[in-house]
Formats: sequence, structure tokens, C-alpha cells
Amino acid sequence: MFFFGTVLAKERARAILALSLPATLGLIVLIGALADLDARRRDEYVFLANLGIRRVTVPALSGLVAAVAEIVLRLIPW
Amino acid sequence: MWKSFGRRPILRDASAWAVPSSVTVLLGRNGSGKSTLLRCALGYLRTFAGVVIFGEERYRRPLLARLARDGLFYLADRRLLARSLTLRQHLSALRQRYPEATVAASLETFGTAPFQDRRPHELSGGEERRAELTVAAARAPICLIADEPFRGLAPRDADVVTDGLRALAAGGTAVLITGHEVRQLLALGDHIIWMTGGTTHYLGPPAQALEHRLFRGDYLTTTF
Repeated sequence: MFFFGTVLAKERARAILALSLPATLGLIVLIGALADLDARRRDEYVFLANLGIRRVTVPALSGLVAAVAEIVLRLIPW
Repeated sequence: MWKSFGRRPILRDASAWAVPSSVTVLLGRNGSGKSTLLRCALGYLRTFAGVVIFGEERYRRPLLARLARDGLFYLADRRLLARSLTLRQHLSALRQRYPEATVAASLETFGTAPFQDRRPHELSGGEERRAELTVAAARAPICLIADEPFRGLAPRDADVVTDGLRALAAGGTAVLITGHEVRQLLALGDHIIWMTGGTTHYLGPPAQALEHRLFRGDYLTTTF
């Protein structure tokens, strides 16, 4: 029984790694790309703010994406 | 305003203000906290404690977009204009948002009419700063906060900027600026605030500031 338990735990850990690692890496790349895009558009945000327009900035957006992704990853019954 | 980065205190009971129809200059050595104070006041950074008072409103968590709707304009120490838009398009957006914008007068003040159809990257550094100030002045703001508006400007462009800021103040705008071009700033300013060690000290008008022993010793050069 103990033996099967250990095997199952290992299998589960392997499955988590197999699924969550690419997802995490993908998220890092996505957030990096969004942050880069944001750095290029930051001037525009100041101009828009001076017009009285509030925009959700890309770091805030990417933070939100990361938070949602993390919740989803945790909810999946590995 | 009180602000720390980790355990390092940056602002300690720092205050700055802008007075209608006058230019207030915030001076201080590099790293004294000038830009941080402005960024806190505009909501780009959270403070440990502090309040922004604009007109009758008090903001514990200020937001530039909200302050801008009430009549503030912020000229950051980095670029303001969107790379994809020409100066004309910026002014058009401004006029759509604020129909009372004084575009023609502003173009005249800063001599920017000839390059209205150019994008920011097609302008020289001085032209770009004048274009930014054209947009700022066209808003006819109640208060203009400009972080280092003279940085990297040739004397001729700096003169245009000086005259433009004076004209804005003469029109009733409360102007608050920072920078290190001391002679230019002391000549332009009506009030001097000195920032050192994260704290601000009001020194009065420039002539009075020049007599301040610590200000001279800590900030100005001995030959000044």
C-alpha cells in the first residue's frame, strides 16, 4: 500500500511539473513581452493621464493575468 | 509626504506647493527625493503617509488622471508625447477633451507651429521639449508640474521655455518645477523650496535663498 502511495505521489509530482513548468515559463515570457510593450508605451500613458483618461497599465494587466493563471493552476485537480 | 524604499527613508515630512500666478522651484541634490516627491503627489508611488490638496479637494490616494481633470498638467522628466502621433494630433486630442484649450496661443508662445506635423522622434531634443510645453500650455492648466524642464536644452531653447513658463504663470497658472540649472531656475522662480535628506525647507524668494548659509554650502558651488 505504502509502495503504491509513493509511486502515485511521484507520478503526481511528475504530472505537476510536466504541466505547470511550461505554463509558468509561458507566463513569464508573456509578462516579459507585456512589460516591454508597456515600457514603450509609458509616455502615452502619461499623456492620456494628462487628458484625464485612466488606463489599466500593462503591468497591472499582466499581474492580473498571472494571478488568474495561478488560481487556475491551483484549481486543476492534479 | 513620508516614503521609504524598503528600510531606506526617502521622504521625511516633505512638502511642496505651487502658488497661483507664480513659479515655485524645487531644488536639491541628486537623490534628495525631488522626483519621488512629485511621483508620490501624482499617485505614481504610494506613500507611507501624506496628502495632496488641490483646490478644495484633499486626496489621500491621488491619481494623475483625476487631478488632470481638475486642471493639473504633469510634465514628467521623461518623454510625454506618444511616438505614433504628431504634435497636431496631440493638440487635437487635447482640444477634444478640453474644448477651452488655447492651442493657437500656445503654438505661438513656444514657436512650434512649423513642426506641428512631425512626430516626436522627428524632432530635436529642444524642439520636443517645446512641443511638450505647447501641449501643456494649451491645456491652460491651473497648476503645471514640470520635472526638469530645462534638462539638456540649448540656451536658445531654454530661453523659449523660460519665457513660456513665465507667460503661463502670468496667466494665473501655479507652476512648480525642478532642475539643476540653478542660474536659470533662480532667475525664473518666485519661490524656492530646497530639498535635502528627504525633507523640504522653504527658502523664500531667490534673493533670500541665496543668503541661506546651509543652502549655499550644501547645494550651490562655492563660486556661485
